[in-house]
Amino acid sequence: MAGAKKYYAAAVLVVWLIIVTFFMILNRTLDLEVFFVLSLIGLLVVAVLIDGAFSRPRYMRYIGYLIVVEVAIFAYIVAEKILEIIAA
Amino acid sequence: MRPRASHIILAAAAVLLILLLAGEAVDPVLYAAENISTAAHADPSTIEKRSPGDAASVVPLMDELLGHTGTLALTIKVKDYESAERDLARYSELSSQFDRLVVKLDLSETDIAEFQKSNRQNQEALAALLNDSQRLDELKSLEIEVLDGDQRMAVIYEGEALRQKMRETYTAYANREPETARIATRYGANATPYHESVDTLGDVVGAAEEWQEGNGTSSGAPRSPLTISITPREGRYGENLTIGGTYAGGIPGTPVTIYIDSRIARNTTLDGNTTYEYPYRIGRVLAGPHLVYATAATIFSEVTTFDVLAADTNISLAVVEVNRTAVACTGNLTTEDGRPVLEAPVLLRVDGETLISTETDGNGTYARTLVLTGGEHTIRAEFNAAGYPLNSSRSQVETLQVRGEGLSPFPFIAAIAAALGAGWYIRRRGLPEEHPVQEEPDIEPPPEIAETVPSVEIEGLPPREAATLLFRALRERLGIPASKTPRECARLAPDHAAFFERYERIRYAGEVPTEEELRSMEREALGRG
Repeated sequence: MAGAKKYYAAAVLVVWLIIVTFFMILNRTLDLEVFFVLSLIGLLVVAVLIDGAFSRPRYMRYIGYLIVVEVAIFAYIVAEKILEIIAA
Repeated sequence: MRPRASHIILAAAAVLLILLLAGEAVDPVLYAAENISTAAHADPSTIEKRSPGDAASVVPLMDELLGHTGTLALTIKVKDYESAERDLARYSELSSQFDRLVVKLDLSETDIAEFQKSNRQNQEALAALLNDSQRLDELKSLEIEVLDGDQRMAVIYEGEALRQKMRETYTAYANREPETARIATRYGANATPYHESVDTLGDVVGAAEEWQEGNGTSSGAPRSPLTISITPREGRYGENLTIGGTYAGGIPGTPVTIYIDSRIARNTTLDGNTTYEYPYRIGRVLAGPHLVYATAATIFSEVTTFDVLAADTNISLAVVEVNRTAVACTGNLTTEDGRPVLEAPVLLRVDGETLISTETDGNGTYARTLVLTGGEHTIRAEFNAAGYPLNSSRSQVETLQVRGEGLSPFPFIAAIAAALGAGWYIRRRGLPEEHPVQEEPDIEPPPEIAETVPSVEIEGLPPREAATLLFRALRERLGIPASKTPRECARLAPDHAAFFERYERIRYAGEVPTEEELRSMEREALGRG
């Protein structure tokens, strides 16, 4: 069961990304920034849901690294937007 | 398949995918309804609209527009101004829809665009005729109320001005009829209401003229001692006309007021020869006829007119880089014969969509500094001649490369700070103090390191505590992590399995070790056995 958790998580994440893509195409607004932010939200939710209380599997450590990288990119996007607003 | 092989294939596929994406990641091609670049990526919902055979979707709207002209003319004729205003609002809404459709379908080079232009002019003409009819009605009721001579004259003059304006508007409206009807018929739209509207409006203007003739301004009025003349009788933007006249029997210094289109244009006085003169420069007035008369105290002059002719304009644009992000746009707006157009609004269209407004100065020159983002931009200056006796003009499109500011360190600092913060948070969250993190079972056995013999003093301690101390000592000596339980220790160090199993019973089953057992355990823990 514990081993299957990470596969469920990956499947949920993929389904989430497909839903996001589907609605973006439906709305004809393909925006990489929005897609990235929504994927980060999905990843954070999945990470919280699969995180155990007493043990830390190796895949959780890797998800942690991934979250750190994505949060960094997210912060970059936010900072860019702030600069754009200030410049406008 | 062996797990190792599947992992290698997965990793190779991931690397390949990243490499393929890397080429497109910097400048991704996003397909939307607006930027269909290939037939394969065409948006099905826009194909129909873009196809040339789709003029059919325009025709119902043309039909409706023509239908509205008939209704509107009729409501103006029966003086139902409330309904007329409602009809006009609906008509202008439909016209806007039609304009959008023409742009969307890219029909600007076809005769549909000509129809659109005529339709716009018709809409303006109908709006003007509606307003003028309303005002004329007001004047009619004023005329009945006002019996005083001066005021009556003012009413009659304004009525005359309105009559001329309505006649002019109607003539232009009627002149557009053949061409507009031809286009409408060609596309199968019903032009009958439009023909009817021309006839109806003819009746409206005819009624206005009858009323004016009844007042006797056009003919039969006694000749006024205050004369008025305009030389020349027509002109273009920026040209000077001289409005002047004499006042037979007037006293030098008598104030004379000159009205253009019923609005005071100038107050002047009679000179020594009882004449007056006003040099009028044609500025921001509409092209077409304009009405002039003068008053001196209670004396009104006759009404005369002058024509303002429409002129073409030229607008230039020069773009100069100011710094890395700003560019200065300058240019001149002149008429075709080189006269500067003063204090006129100029629009700068950046990248075909963003509009920035500026204004020409007293020399017809405009200047505006724009701050742009890095990259290639196009700028074009436009003059929309609304309210001027001039035709609109556009400058050539200037393409420029803005260097843009260098990369700001702020986003990078933010990114690093966020990464550090997220890392710290995840680490802190994953390492609660009371629950040391347990790694997934480490497969590799702990290496038999050259242990240092810990010193353990168990004298005087209760037997179970002494056993715990000995367990820790042995675990430390074997280099087993402190997170391992006695059972895990037994599995990792099978040579000492008996010790760990005995300790497990002492720890968890509550057994109390004997003195002899403790000695034996001590020997094993310290490696003296």
